[in-house]
Amino acid sequence: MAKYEMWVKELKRYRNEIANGTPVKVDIRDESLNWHAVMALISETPIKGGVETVILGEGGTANYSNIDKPVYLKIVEELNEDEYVIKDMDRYNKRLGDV
Amino acid sequence: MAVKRIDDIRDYLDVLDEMGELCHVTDEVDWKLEMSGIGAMSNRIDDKIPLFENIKGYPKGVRATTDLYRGSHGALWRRMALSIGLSPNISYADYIDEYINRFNHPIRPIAVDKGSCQDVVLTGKDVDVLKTLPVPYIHDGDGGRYLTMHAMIVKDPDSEWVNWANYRALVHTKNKISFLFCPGQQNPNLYYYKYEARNQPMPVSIAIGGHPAVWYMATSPLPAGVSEVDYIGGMTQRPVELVKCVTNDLYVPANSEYVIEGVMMPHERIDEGPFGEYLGYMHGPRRPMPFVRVTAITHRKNPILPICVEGTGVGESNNVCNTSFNALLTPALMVFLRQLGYPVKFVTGPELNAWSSLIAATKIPYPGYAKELGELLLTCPGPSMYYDLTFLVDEDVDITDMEKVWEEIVLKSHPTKDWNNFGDADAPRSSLNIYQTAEEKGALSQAASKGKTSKCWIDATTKDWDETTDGPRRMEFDLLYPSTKEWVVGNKEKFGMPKYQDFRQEGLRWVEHKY
Repeated sequence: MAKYEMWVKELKRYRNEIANGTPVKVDIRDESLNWHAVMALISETPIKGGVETVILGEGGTANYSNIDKPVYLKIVEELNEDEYVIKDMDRYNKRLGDV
Repeated sequence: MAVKRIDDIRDYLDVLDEMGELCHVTDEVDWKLEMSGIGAMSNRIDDKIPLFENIKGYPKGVRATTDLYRGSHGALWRRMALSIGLSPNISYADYIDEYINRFNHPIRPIAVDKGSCQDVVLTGKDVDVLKTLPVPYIHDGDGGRYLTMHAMIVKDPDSEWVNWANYRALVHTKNKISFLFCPGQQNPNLYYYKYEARNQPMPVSIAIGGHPAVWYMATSPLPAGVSEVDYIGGMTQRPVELVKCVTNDLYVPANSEYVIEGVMMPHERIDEGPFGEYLGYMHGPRRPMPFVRVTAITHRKNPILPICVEGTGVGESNNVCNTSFNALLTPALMVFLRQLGYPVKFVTGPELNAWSSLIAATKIPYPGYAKELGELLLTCPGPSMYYDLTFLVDEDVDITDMEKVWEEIVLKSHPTKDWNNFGDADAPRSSLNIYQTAEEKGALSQAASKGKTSKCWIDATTKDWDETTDGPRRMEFDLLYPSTKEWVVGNKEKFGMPKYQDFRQEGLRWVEHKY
């Protein structure tokens, strides 16, 4: 199991930021399956200080941009654990485009 | 065999051990897919109940067990009967009768000053659910580590009504646990949203272990306004001993293995799912659900965590989710139907996948009865949230024999006259069926929004026939050859057909339509 895992939805949500190399706020889980909110740089190719991160879909691993390989994630900042909590439901749904 | 009194899951496991049905797993196993993998395989091949005594990353003495109440092949109710003090050899009919009898005699609990569930108390910075409990990663692809066998205890803010219920629980961090709340369930609709509308936190306690009946009643569809703990007393025929929690005013079984205390805050959510559910499929969507902020963990010394490896009994109907339908929900439905005076002989879920549909064997005492019963079974609160199809068959049909039931359906239900579809409806529905679209599962913006469903009841009973026909008659061997059957059987050896006798005993099940 990779050191970190993250949801494919978040990669899709931040497609532009990832392409531009801008840090984004994402939820990742570690090897104990403990979830964290972090600011991180994400790349499809190896980056200095980055670690392989498996992409999770709903029901197992999923491909991102049809690439069957992990992304690389470099944590810029560990956020307060309450950053993991969703408090604005309307904004959350609009952002993910799920409704 | 003598039936031993059982006070908690430890007594129950001891009895299984004495019967040679417990497997002590002393090698180190990982909480990550190893415990559940062994449990899944044991479910599939109907092997012993595993007790994991050496879990990777956890102190010696911390234990776990999977699907400890599941039925064995051909006797789904057997271990549940054993756990409530009945003989494991009891017939299904006698089990159902005794279950209903106890169900009708609830006993109020009593409060005690001390409980072994508080042998160890962790509060403040010592609270860490993932480090304290060996919470399993059950299926590859689950949204995280899940607790699956517990009673979530909450109190109505306006009355003394206390609800005990089981909701799958995703442990996200050391102190945050989210729950899947489905449309129609009591906890979200009658409790949490009441607290949330008042902008008040809802105190919560999660009791794990205790007497097996704690979990049984937490998963039973009891009506609003009654407290499950009274029915646990009824099942065990003695009052449940309760102890007050450390950080809230709720009461929990004094002999629980673990108790997680906390609070569910208004207007807060954490993503929940996906999860491999009891229907045998992994699916989502992953969506925001209310969660508990944990304030305390208490537990017994050398605690045991019970785990349900959901979905691994499909095909064998052999994990506790499938077992519980036939051993818990069936008698609960029978209580309901008998109280209403319906001449239903028996109801059950199909053994292959119990929570998918309902089968009822019944008399048809008057015209219009089938419609009445079919619609009642699809709309009664609680159970009907979990199935969309109900099949009615004649009362003499053995509805535990799925081959027989299928024959009744395909031969006796007219495709247009007897398949009665309600059409789409905005009725509460568990969001776990795999044919539901995301929209039908309810809007993602609210945890327990009303899901849509579509229900259908199928009348596979024998119909009245008009005056011009006699109706169909089953073609049993005895009926077909009344005058020659003795001659046929008597001459079988002469014809060199040694299996003829066996063939004769099984009966010839030919079907002829006489119209």
